[in-house]
Amino acid sequence: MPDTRSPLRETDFEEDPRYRTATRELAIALAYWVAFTVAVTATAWLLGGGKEADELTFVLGFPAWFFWSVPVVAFAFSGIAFVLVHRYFTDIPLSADGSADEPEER
Amino acid sequence: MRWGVLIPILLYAALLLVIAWWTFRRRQAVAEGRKTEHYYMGGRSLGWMLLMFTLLASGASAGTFIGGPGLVYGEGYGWILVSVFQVPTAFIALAVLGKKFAIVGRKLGALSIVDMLRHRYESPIVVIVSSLGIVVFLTAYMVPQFVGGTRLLEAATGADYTVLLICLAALIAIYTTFGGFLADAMSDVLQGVIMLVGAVVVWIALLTAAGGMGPVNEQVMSTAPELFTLPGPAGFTPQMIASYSLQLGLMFGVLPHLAVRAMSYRDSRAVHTAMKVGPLVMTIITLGFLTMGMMARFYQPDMEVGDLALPTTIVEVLPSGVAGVLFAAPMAAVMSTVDAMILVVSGTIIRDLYVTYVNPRISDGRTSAMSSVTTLVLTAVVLVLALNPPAYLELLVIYAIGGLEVAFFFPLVLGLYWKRANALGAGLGMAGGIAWYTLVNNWAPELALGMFPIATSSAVALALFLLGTYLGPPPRREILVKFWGTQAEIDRLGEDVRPVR
Repeated sequence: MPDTRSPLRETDFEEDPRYRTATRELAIALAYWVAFTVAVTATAWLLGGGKEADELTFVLGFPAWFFWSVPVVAFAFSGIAFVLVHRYFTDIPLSADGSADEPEER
Repeated sequence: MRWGVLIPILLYAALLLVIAWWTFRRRQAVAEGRKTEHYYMGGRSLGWMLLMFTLLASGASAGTFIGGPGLVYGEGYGWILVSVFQVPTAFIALAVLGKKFAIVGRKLGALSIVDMLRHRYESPIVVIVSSLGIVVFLTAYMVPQFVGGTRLLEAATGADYTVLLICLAALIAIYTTFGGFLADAMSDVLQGVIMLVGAVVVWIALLTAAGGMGPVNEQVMSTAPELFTLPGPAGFTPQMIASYSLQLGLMFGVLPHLAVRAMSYRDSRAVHTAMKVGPLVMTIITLGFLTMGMMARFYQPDMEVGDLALPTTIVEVLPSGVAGVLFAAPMAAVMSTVDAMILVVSGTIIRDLYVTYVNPRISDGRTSAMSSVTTLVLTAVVLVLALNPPAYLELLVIYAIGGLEVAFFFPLVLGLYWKRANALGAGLGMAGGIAWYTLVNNWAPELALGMFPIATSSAVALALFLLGTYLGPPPRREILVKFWGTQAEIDRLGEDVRPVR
């Protein structure tokens, strides 16, 4: 009978606490990606999907569906990325042992 | 020969050589034991500007400047819609691989994604298959980049194709061979700035000369109204649109030449600023160049080859000196992609294959020197292939980007963030994902379910990864310590973790 206990439930070594920060930032990025994809696709399709060219309205010289789903959403999400990183991303040292100063390369 | 166009391009080439010389001097001053790391990773010293531009410029290939506007010219606004998914590349790539990638990279002395996979899965099969995949696909991918860039220069300057191609290859060879990663990254900043400024300046110039979007729209409406519509001629249904976001957005950052940049930065501050500013810069570059594809319709209503619509327009509308500066932008895009790939392929051959399996006792100085030679030889190989592209090459190119993404995304991301992930899962996922991708592209397009092939291929790769992982044994304790433990725990293992370099 093989040992069925998961060796992973509890680790018998000290984990690097910085990885918890990294995992949280991964989750934020994934959520951002899903939101961006949905925003672009849904806006474009709801405003322009299946319409003939002569049914389209124009905003600032672009088809309305394009204007709202591409430039507007892209600039908005550029701003959202800025805010997310600014507010929720943590400044941690990246050196192997977690010390603040990296060995200077000379 | 149009000298007005050519002179700014020559000046730009001269500037690249100065960068190469400066970085070469710096490289010689690097201590023994860190030479190879410096050549392939710039000593992990990149600040935010180098990091952001090197990511964006290496990612934005000839596609953004030549192929993309050409597709918009031929098939309309739908192509700008799907291209916008590349906007958050810098943010997503840097946050998905994340600071963990950078920290583990430092702990293990990893200089490539193959290094990471080798430590994480300890499976020679995974390592060798990944390495060969990188060498074959990226080498193939560089060839059309070279060809496209040279064609463009030929159209712009009127100089001879072969001469231009050889000059371009020589330039890339010199600054990549002598300057390594740092010269690459620094030239990417120059190239990225040219692209950014070019996107804004040309956009305004073309729009002003046309008299606003009104005349452009009238022209398009009377000749090709379907370009305004969705799904449009390219067939962009909602599921098709969203699936482009997998390839251009989420999974793009695991491409070997981009992923290596995600562990090359100096500190958290550098990566944060790059993530904050990157999306905005990419928005401007993407929207600028792609909407110009539509404007080109106004100037050149009936071009046979869409790819040449924008270059021809630029030469006609703008004064030649300005046009020359702007032609540096597509050339820059090509060069920054190619140099990044050359370095990754050379690193794979020398470090991941030769040093690991053939001659582990080699000294750091010799590895660094051999890397330079390999880089030179590789450029020559790509040059020869570009002079006379073999027929099967086309096939490899189509698979290169999507195939590598399918192969590497789950092994890298799950390997970093999921303790249970093991070699059987990684191997099965890679093999199954690639096999499915090939099947869908070649023989059974209906299996893509109306989406870009990467969508179902990723699902298959993920399913097989999970299956293999639960069938196989969990990774041994030492691996977990290396990827989750503190440095003190790793030291306690007593293994020689940092590779002999």
